[in-house]
Amino acid sequence: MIERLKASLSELSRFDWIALGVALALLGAILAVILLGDHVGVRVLRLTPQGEAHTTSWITLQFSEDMARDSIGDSLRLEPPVAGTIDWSGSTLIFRPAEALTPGETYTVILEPGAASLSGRTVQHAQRFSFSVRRPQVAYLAPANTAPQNIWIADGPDHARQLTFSEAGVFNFDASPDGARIAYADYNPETDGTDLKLIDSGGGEPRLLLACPDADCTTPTWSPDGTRIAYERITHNTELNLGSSPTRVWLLSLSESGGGTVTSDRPLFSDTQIISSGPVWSPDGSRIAVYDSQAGGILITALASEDLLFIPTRQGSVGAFSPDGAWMVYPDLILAGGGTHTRLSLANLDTRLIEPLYNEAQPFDDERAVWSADGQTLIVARRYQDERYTPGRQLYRVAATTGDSKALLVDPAYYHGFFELDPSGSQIVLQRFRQPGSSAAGNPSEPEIWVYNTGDETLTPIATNAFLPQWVP
Amino acid sequence: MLPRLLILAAGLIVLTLAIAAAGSPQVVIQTFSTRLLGIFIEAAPFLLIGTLVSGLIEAFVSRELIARLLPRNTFLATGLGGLLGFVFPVCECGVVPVARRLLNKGLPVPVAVSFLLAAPIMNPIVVASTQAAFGWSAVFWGRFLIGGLVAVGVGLVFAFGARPEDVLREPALPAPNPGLTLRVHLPARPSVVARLLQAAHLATGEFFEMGRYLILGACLAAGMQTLVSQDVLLALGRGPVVSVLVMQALAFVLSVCSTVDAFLALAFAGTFTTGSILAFLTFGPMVDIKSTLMFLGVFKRRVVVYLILLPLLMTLLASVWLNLNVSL
Repeated sequence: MIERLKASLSELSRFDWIALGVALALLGAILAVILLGDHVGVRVLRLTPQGEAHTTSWITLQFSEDMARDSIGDSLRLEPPVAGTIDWSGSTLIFRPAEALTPGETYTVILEPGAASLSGRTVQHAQRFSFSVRRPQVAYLAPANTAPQNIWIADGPDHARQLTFSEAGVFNFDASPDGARIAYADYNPETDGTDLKLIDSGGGEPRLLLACPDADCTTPTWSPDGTRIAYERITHNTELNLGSSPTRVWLLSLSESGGGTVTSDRPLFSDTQIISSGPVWSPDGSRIAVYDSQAGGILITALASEDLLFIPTRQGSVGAFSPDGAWMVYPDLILAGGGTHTRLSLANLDTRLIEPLYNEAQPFDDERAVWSADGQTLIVARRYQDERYTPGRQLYRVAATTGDSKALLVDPAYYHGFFELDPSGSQIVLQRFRQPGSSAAGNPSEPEIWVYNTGDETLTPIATNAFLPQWVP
Repeated sequence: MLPRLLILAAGLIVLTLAIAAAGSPQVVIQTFSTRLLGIFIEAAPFLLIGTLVSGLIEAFVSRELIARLLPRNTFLATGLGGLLGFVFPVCECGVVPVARRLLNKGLPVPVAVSFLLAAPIMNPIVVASTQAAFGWSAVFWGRFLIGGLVAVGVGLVFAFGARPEDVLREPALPAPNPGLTLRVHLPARPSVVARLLQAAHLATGEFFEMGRYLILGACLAAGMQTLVSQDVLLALGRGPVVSVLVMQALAFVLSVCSTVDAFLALAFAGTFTTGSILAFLTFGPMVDIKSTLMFLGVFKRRVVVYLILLPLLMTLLASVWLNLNVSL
């Protein structure tokens, strides 16, 4: 054996020895580079938000490698401190604040060295970046009394700007959860359809999100993570001459960046017999509630398992999920005192039990309800039928557990309609009409948009002759 | 004889076990044939271009011209070899017949080796595709810098004592008299048409000759791709060292043409280290399964080992150093 090896070695030419020597030297150099250690470590490739953030912005850090998630520990912190949860998407850390960020505040995100990747490399240099939080804006449609209606966006009184310039008019819209974009339904006269479009809330050119020839695609509703949009679709079936289809909810998936690239578009239900409208997402984005007009109730579907939960109600609209997703408050029609009334009930989505938020003897009609950020109370549009009667509905705060109520915004000169709480829960944007014949100034036929501060109980006018207000966080 | 039989038997046992582990034999054979055709159809046009260029070199480029154009300094000449891809833009499938023809025409071995390894990277088509995939990023510049340095570096190793008769197989050896290599009878001063016919004739013969190696290499590459899952390779590790080895192995197994490999590498850019992406983009074009087989038509076996080992270690060194020392 040794003889054969010696013979083989003796056959090697000068070139062979040089080539093998270079190979050995390279191996030694590689070993030396490895032994000298890692001077770079895990890097943070991308940080968001940069500069200005929204009250609902998430904080994301994209690492250069997949991380050992437990190793992050206390090395990530915010100044001033913010409670929240950490999720991961591949090598990207997503910090979701438990509460809305404070408008006007400047936050600093600090990542201390030490966090490790799955390959054992560590973050070697501290990362620090700051962003400031802008005040929530109000988006709405205007003018209310003539076409075309377009989206306007306002920072406050006398600070509104027109965002879209649709010639045919915007039907409705929804702001993305991070407030960066607005999806809206825009009629297209060329295709006799209503398309879905996307525009940055800061302005710019709108982008076509979904062309809907011979169909109306409306009521876009963003998922809480901003990667999907549920919407209502009516197909006209012009070529088949079958008449328009009933409304059905469809689901658009966007690319991970949410930047407007549609990756899939499908009906929410594979069962085409289900007729659905008014999609509402659960806070964790795992379920969608719709109104099933054929069955006469709210249908809640779990997207992953396709499990269905049915809540009977004849009122015709979907309610609101509680912030923890365990409850749904919804309106129902009941017969009481010889008349039909709209009352609110709570559905426990775990136990599937219904708890009415009323007793039949109570003299009021409730309609829309939204949850407070802590899930303890509801803001309700209510009209009493006793000595507290007003022609229009007024806003009350109702305890979710006891049903006890407290007047929040009562002005008999107004009808209060659509309203929404801002992410911090301290302001309500609302749409209201003046009661004809009231002493209040203004045109009763034109809806107005106001912001009510629940802290100092002040009302600020935002726009007149405008409707469908919504917070842009 | 017995050891070869044992190796063959062991290979068959391993193959059977691998097919059994991979699932249904029908699916394995279907996957294998699809991949084989994919690799061959992708590579064959480039081989055809390479053999055509080779034929044109034989017909139109004289030994004297090469001797006159080449710098006398070995380092300079080897460096120039690294840039010849811009004159003969061929990928790794087409570069082997061109290199063999140039060797046959008396191009020094270090220059030919430098050209052989660099041309699949340092050519205008690859510059354009890499720019389209990665923009003017560090990966773009790194690919050409590392690719050029490694090719010239290996070429320089061959400059020390590598005599043509020690490293080249018979068909690649410089012809003692250029006229003897021609397989058609030519008049003393052949016309352009006659030279083109000669080039086409030579290209045809060479295409079928080198095509054998391509088919065998494509079979091996398709077999490896079928039996060794990419997911298994990718799951092996993403550290600064292991990721480079994994991407080098992937480049060797996938045998993707260098004109399109940048787009494939782009898919790994978010999850793998920059150094490993560069290893994929530099080692892969120089050496993969099918080009290894084609090298065997030009170089002696142990030289082919050096042509694999040296680029492997040099790209490994460069990539690991980048991963551990440069924030890209």
